[in-house]
Amino acid sequence: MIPHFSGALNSDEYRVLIELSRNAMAIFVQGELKYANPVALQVFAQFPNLLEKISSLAVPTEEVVRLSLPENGQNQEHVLECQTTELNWQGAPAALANFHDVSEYYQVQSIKSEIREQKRVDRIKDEFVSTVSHEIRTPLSIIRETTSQILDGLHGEITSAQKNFLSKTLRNIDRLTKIINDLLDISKIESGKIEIRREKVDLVSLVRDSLVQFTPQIQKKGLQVLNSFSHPHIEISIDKDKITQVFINLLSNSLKFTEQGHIGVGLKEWDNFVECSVMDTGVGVASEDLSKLFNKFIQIGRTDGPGQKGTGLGLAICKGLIELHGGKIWVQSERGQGTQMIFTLPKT
Amino acid sequence: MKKVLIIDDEADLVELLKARLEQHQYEISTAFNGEEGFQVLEKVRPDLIILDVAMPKVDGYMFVQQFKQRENLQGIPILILTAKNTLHELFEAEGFYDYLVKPFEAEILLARIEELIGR
Ligand SMILES: Nc1ncnc2c1ncn2[C@@H]1O[C@H](COP(=O)(O)OP(=O)(O)O)[C@@H](O)[C@H]1O
Ligand SMILES: [Mg+2]
Repeated sequence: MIPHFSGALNSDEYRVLIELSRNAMAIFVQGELKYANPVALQVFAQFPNLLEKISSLAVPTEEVVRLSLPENGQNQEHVLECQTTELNWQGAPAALANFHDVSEYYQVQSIKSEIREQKRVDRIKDEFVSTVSHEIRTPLSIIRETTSQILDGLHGEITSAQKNFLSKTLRNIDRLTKIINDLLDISKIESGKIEIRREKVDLVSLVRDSLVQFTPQIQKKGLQVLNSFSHPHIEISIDKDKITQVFINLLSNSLKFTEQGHIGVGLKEWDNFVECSVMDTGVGVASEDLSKLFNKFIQIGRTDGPGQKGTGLGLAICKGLIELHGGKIWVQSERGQGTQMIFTLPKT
Repeated sequence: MKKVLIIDDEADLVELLKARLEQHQYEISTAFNGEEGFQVLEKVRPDLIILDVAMPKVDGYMFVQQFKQRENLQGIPILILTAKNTLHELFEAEGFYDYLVKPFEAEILLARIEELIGR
């Protein structure tokens, strides 16, 4: 319903309206400012170049003109919209300019378009991840199985030299697979696409199971395993595969960087959380490097020698997986004094 | 001899799996998509099906859905062997829990097959 008012306004009432209006209004006769309401005066003070710009526009066009202007004393650009209308002012043809600052509106618009762009990038990333996962793993599985069958003598006897070189091939296929898996994991963690599926798990058995696959390496290096569990069983609700992955990553680091002494896992049950640690008596980490460790692609001492090459993604993945469980991870280490990785897992 | 049906559209991989499994005394039938898989199943009742997921025509997911409708096929275990490692839940929801991601290690594949066949 359109409201209807009776009685015309008198000139005082019109004056009040114009002076209290939040819309900036200015009147120009042949480019010269003849009147500006209080808001317009404020805006002119805020943007020193505005008056000049508007007076040059002040030929009535009815078009909305957008002006980008720096604010007085600030280096931020504002966007103003200006529209001029023809009128008669004190007997002369004149232009009424209406203008207002629309920067906030533009900021909102640009945030919206950033979000849209982000979603588009996420979608491309997801497609990429699933393509990589399928299109690379399939040929990789064929290469791996071919190599492994020749190595196993399935297609005739091979010499020990051939065996030696094919073993290298196989090791590097597995390395490539690990890199792809790590890249996919970190990308899933970063895009929030990874889900935690909690189930009741005995953490002590989980740790024992994770250690099994390292037995050959541990024996080869002549290391001791020193575990310490506060209870024989520690029940907790976690994503079994993901926490296993964390222990395997941390243990493989400890093994990679430890030549003598021992490695071990500690589990301590508190009221609301379990404190887990993986420790070793290896090369340790220099204090200036400690804070970088959990960032992506960080590998310290990469040049230290053969057999230490990784992706630098292991700890970033651990951190992501632990945080998804509501826990935290940190490190205590000194150069030459071994390393202890500690993390917490809330019980619920 | 225990019979295994391999359904995978990668001919090279099918050939490799066949060679590996024949060496371990399995009798192998092969199919290159789900539709062909059902055709083979008209004639042979395998002790296990190794099933790829991404395939033309009838893919692995459609296969398990149709498989469930066939009374006569119930009881045959299916090992899903796929390059996609994000589909566990999809298959679990259909009641299929045996899942191995490519690239696989032959020893692990063989162990899973034995476990499923109960040899
Ligand atoms: N137990 C450890 N002892 C010494 N240094 C470690 C240990 N764990 C991690 N680091 C350091 O942190 C870096 C990052 O580890 P990580 O993210 O697992 O990547 P990667 O193992 O692929 O190098 C390693 O390259 C190493 O320099
Ligand atoms: Mg690592």
